[in-house]
Amino acid sequence: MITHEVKDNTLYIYVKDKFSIESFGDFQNAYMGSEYDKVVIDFSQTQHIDSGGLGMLLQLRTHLGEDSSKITLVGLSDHILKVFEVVNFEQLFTMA
Amino acid sequence: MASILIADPSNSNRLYLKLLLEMHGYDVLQAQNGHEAIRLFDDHAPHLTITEIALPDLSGAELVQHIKACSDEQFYPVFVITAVVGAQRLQGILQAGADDFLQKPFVEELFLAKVDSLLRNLDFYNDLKQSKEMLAQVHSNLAWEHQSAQRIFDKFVYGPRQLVPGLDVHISAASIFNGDVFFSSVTPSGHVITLLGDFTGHGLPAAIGAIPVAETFYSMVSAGRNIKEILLEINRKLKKILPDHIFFGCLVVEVSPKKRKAHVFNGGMQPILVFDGITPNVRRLMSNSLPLGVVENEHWHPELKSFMLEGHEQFVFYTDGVVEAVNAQGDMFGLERLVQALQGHRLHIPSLVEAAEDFCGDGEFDDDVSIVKLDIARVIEKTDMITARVLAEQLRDPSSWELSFYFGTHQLRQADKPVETVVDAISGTQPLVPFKDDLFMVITELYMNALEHGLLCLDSALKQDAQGFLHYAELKQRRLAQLNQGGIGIQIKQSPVSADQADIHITVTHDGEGVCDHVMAQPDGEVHRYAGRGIKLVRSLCHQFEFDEQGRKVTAIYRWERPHAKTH
Repeated sequence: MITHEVKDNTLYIYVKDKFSIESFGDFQNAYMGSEYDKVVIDFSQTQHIDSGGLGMLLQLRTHLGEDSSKITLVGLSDHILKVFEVVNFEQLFTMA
Repeated sequence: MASILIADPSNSNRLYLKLLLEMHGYDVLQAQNGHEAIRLFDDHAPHLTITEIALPDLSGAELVQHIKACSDEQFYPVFVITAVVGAQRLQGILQAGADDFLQKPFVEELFLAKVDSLLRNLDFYNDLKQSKEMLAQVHSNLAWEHQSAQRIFDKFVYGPRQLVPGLDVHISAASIFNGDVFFSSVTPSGHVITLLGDFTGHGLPAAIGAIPVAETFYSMVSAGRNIKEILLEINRKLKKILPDHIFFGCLVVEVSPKKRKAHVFNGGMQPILVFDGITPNVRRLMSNSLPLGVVENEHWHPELKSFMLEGHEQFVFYTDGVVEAVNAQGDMFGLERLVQALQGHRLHIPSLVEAAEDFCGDGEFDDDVSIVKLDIARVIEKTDMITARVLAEQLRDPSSWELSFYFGTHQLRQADKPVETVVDAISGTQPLVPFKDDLFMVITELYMNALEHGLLCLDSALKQDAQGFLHYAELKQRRLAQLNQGGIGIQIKQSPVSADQADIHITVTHDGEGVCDHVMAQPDGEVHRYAGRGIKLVRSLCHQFEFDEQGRKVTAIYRWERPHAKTH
């Protein structure tokens, strides 16, 4: 499940449970429908992420003009961090 | 029928009273002196004793004292009938315990009315006594029930607590059931995790919520869930079950000794004190979230603080029972005195408890009091021990086993969480908590490939732009709903490699139309491409990967190894 809110010009996206292509619609709605400067994606409640989910993050990055300082990924568990590292996402996103 | 003993030295008086009473249906015993009266009383235990003040051998008062000495278990009224007029002697016998008196000569009706009234009192007294006995019985039953409940409560709430190095804990409860809860455990990744919480109020109503909290905490910690997930689940449960006026203040401190990192949550508790361990300086981590059980999860955003540790920090956290302890003047012990007491006694918790008790004067706290110290240096020192214990608990010796799954067309359409099913079955066969996420990832990628490309014939090239992504997702859903043939098989086979290692062969097969000649793993230079990442993930996690029959059969071999833990 994906929920979002905008606080201080920052879009916060909360990913619950699974981040996969099944939630693409919700994910796209979260970033298409509002005005903001930066995006923070919170994975602290995410249990699993798959390659479809990774693709969706790239999609968002393209949408924001491929600027790696604009998207911050937070709440990364050891496992999710490992997945991001395997696909070298540290080159494309800010991780906190 | 009521029996009455008459003690009177005068034969005529006794005869008169006897006839009068027998006429009104009473059984009468007679004694002409004190000793005879005592003997008759002891043998027959009459309901009522009527006596003169002056008896030949004993005083009436002595007789009354004897009777009253037997009145412990049962009530024996004494009625004084006397020719004596001196107020002093009357007063004497009444003080000895006589219940009523009448002076001779008397009106018969008055005499009979008084006898009747004394015997009624007797019934009243005996009823009261019976109620008292019943109450005592009920009370002892209740005490027994409380005791059993407490045992169950303790098993739930304190049973699963794991001893963690570096912990120093003081807990005292204001009643049998404690409204404070303290949990400590070690996560599957070898982090030390502690939770201290306080339900509003104390006693049974406050404590009852501790059971679901304990169960949620320990089961989620051992399943490797993170703090935020655990807090949200506890909040969801408490919001549902707690009455509106009860909520749960709670703090969590998680320490990763390997990474020297701490994660802290404070929702509605007193500030967490962090001493640097070298200087008297102390940091206070204030509450920055609502307590649990107040609002629904959608409105609750628990905020966690993360920071690096130097390695000699000491965390002290406590419930408000100690800072709000009040002395005779009505002053509270307060945070400043608490900090001073800690600094003055080298953070020695028993000394702090003593200081707070001395402050209160009577040495008793009115509320539940919990104080916990976590010594980071000790945790780090014992890292190896913690890791060894975690692994000893989680990893059994590798054995040989095989699991086989087949998802037919219909099942593929309706399966909600097929990969979860497989991973749960693996966990049920051999618990592999530290490697569960990896296995999940690998099986998910292989299953998705078989489903999306093998059975649903979806082309990854579709995912090249934003519209394409949505199109891909929609197409997947539509084709899955229309799927009318084909299935996916998953075989999981473990074979031990050594005493500490095993290979898990994961084979995923499908009988769909979609085939491809070679596996596409994304070249490293093209990180930004949208497709081809799944296979790369599988390859990075598995030490072998085979692609046969144009993708109809794919095998990945995942090797797990028991990390070597030193045993000192």
